[in-house]
Amino acid sequence: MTVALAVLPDVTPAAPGLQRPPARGLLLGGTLTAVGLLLVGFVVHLAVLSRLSEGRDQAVLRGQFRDQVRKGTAPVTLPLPDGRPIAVLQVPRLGIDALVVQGTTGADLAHGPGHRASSPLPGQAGIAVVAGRRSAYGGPFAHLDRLRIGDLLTTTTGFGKATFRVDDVRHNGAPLTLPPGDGRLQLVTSDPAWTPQHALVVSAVMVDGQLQPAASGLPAPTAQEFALLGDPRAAVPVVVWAALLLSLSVLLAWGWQRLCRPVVWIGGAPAALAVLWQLADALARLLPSTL
Amino acid sequence: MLRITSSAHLRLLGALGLTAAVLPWVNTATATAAGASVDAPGAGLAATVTVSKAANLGNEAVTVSWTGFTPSSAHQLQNGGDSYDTSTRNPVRVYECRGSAPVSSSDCYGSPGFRGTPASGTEPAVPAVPGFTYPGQTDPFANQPDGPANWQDVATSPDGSGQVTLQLFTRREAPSLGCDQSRVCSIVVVPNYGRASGAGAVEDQLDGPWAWDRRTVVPLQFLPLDDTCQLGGSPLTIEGSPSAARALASWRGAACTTATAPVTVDYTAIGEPQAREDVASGLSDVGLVTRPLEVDARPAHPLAYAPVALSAVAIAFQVDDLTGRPVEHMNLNPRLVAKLITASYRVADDNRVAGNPTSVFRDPEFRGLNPGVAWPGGSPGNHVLLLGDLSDTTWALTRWIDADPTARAFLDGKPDPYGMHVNLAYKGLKLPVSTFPLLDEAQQDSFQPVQGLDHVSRQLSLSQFPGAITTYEDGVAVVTKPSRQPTGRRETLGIIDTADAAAFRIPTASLLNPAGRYAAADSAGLAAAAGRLTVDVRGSVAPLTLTALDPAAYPLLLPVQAVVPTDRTGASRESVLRFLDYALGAGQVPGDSLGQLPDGYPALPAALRTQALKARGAVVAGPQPAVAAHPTPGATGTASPTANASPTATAATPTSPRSGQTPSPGGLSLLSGDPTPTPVLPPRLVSAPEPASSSGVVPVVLLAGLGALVAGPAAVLLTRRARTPPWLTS
Repeated sequence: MTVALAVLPDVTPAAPGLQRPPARGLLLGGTLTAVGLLLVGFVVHLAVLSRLSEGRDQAVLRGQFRDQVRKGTAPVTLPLPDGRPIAVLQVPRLGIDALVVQGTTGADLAHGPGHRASSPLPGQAGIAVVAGRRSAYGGPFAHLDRLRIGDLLTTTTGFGKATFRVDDVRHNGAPLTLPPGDGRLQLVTSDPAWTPQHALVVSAVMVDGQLQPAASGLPAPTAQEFALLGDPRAAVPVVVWAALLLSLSVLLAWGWQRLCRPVVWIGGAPAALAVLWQLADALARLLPSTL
Repeated sequence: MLRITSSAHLRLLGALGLTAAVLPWVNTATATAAGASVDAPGAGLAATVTVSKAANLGNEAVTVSWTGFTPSSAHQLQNGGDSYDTSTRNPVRVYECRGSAPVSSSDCYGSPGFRGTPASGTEPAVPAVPGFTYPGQTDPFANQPDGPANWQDVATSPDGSGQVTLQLFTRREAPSLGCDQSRVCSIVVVPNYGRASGAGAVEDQLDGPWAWDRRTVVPLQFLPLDDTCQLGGSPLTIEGSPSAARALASWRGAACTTATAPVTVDYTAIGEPQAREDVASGLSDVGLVTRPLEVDARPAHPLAYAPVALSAVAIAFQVDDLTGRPVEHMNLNPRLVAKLITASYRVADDNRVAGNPTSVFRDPEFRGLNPGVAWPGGSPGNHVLLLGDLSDTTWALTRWIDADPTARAFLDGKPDPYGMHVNLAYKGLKLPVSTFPLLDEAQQDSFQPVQGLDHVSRQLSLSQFPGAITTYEDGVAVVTKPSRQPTGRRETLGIIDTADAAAFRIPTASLLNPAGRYAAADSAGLAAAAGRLTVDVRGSVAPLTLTALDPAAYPLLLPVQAVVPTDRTGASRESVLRFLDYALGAGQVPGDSLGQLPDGYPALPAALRTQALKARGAVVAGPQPAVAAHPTPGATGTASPTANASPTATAATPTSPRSGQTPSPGGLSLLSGDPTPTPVLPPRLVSAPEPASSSGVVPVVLLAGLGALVAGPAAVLLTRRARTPPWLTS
């Protein structure tokens, strides 16, 4: 994505002082190249670069959560503000050891697997739902389809440790009557990986730990917290960041011709990088949140 | 009631010229469960001998005490190992002997015998008395051919009283002695006041006929062993929890003879990990465990958990202080126990424990916790007696250690405040474990766990160090076990269970609980801990939560639960129910008769009993109908995101109750308030559909971007070529 900016100057005439106006084809070609780099850069961001921010968020939140568990202040009541660390999820078969944040919007899931706000916490009576991304932002649930009935999941919350046994793995588009057993955990992601068509739902029943009474005061579900729906509210930041990018491009093009070029490089590249990163994050929120 | 039948003996009496006043007397004791007290005219004019329990006996320990004896010349005997005291006068020996009227010390288990003395001065010669002869024994004076004997030598106090604890062997521990319900045995108390001249009144001549003639005999009445219930047909097989073995032995002996609902039980005491596997696979009918099945276990049958007894891990000790008196109280914290189970006390030639104290009794931390006692010096290599099997007792103990931050830090390498460090072979040891790891090969001869919880308890009762040294003589392996320690000089510790500690009358240590108090392993401490037990999601009693415990709670509680199959029908179900009914009914009555709850098991708290009745209800309910078929798997969700179909989980209506079969609770009236079987299937949950919108954005973006990247440079190239025709540039 950063490369896209580097070629912007190519759109303007390469050599200063040339009188000949740029040919129409040259302008078209340069624009196409820049757009192509932006688009490919976006995909590269989703697949590779977003992993870095997710890893960093996980490390920071895990530290916070460990501290809360030690002090006994880990959350046990709902509702909770989005983005707070609420649990650690471990899936030994898949090697998953992830911190779960509150909330399942695209922005929440950029930090790691998220707990659906309208469901009880893992370990409480009822069905606790944890959604996670399949591909982007590190794809914590990348291999969820490899879980088999009988596999074990464990969660650590403010209630303590609970172990669940997978008893159902399926694409779920209709109400699903689960096998008997209260205290359930569902892991949700999308399937297939990059071109989601269905929700992939892994249901597990609690087999070890203390079952807590059902949560009270659960908020009503909202459309944004469902797995495969994008968040239309993200359109606003997309427009804002795109406008900023445009302004920055103009500014840099102007500076490229009038100012000392190393200065433009040093000042412009980080700024452009930051804006591009934010734009890509905002765009990603428009996509299905478990992508 | 003079009972001397051997003519040789009569001649001997005559030769000794004993007067009638000092002839041996054997009083018929009135044997009661509360104990027996008899006059001991041979030992003194007003002498009496008291045995704490003389009826309903099994393999257990009794206290033998006496008054009015001639005091010994020292407060304790100078003996040890295989050596006898040859200077202290007037010692006393207590034997377990064959029959109610043993003829000579050769009827008494493990007696070393008397080799005879030649005539000297005014004393005539005394013929030899061979010792107790084990089967296969060649030397009649060898007293330890197949393990330690149980007799005890002790000194009488200046006030004429004395006391010793004697472990009684049944036919099972000592077949050559053969004590059981039909074959009577006895306790014989032999004081050695010497011959007429006063010579020979020392320990190494205790089997001399002059001492034997002053004996006092107390007959013993044993409970029937396993043979009351003949294993025939198809008995109910039960496996597990050795800490419940004493309760099961009592129950199974009576459960087969109840008038209304007899059940024949085939019980095997094995470690709980194995019991869990066997009950999950259906190899045994019922498992006894203290922790539920592993969460990933796939039992072949549906199972329920019925708590039947409470037990606890006990750190028991047989320690005598420097004056020879037994120590009754001891406090231990997790770090001290961590030191014991990691062999961290110093022994020669092991640089992994260099610099440490040589024994727990020399450890400043231990002495600080237990002031006011003249602790013995402690031999190096005096290791704690540990169980060698896979067991939940070991798991509960090591879990308690692991939960203590100072013990954990010690194991991770932080020295204690006095500079003692963990055995480096154990540094960083991960706990809890189900079996004690043996990591220090330099101590492999002495640091040896013992197989079988009952063996650990028996060995501790006899005060014998663990370990054995194997040497090779002419290519033949010779195993030398340490001798037992004589009463008055004992310093053994062992990790056993509370029921065995109670049966063998071994004192147990008070342990530091997470509330910061030292709690005793008595019924109060166990009851306080049991009050904090919880039931987990599978209906099993969860291991004791080690945080925020009651200050009185003993931290190593073991809730013993019977894992019973709930899908049995017919006679098979009936026998499971009968066992549960016995265990929860007559089996909860405390007492030492066959079928009662033995000493050392506290009463089952009401909450656990309720839990057990719930499990019984599940057995009564029998097999449940299979759960309703799942919806067609793989229901594709491409369709409309049926948006607001209440996405919260809603409990579906419970499926229809069990159809048909009404269990017949016939003959199950042992329980008051027999719960009417009302099987309730757990509520079923319906999860909301996950709305889905297909999104192919990413590939489209990627393709478009790649296309633009090809088209852009192409356009530039084409333009360049078109822009500058060669004829214009020339």
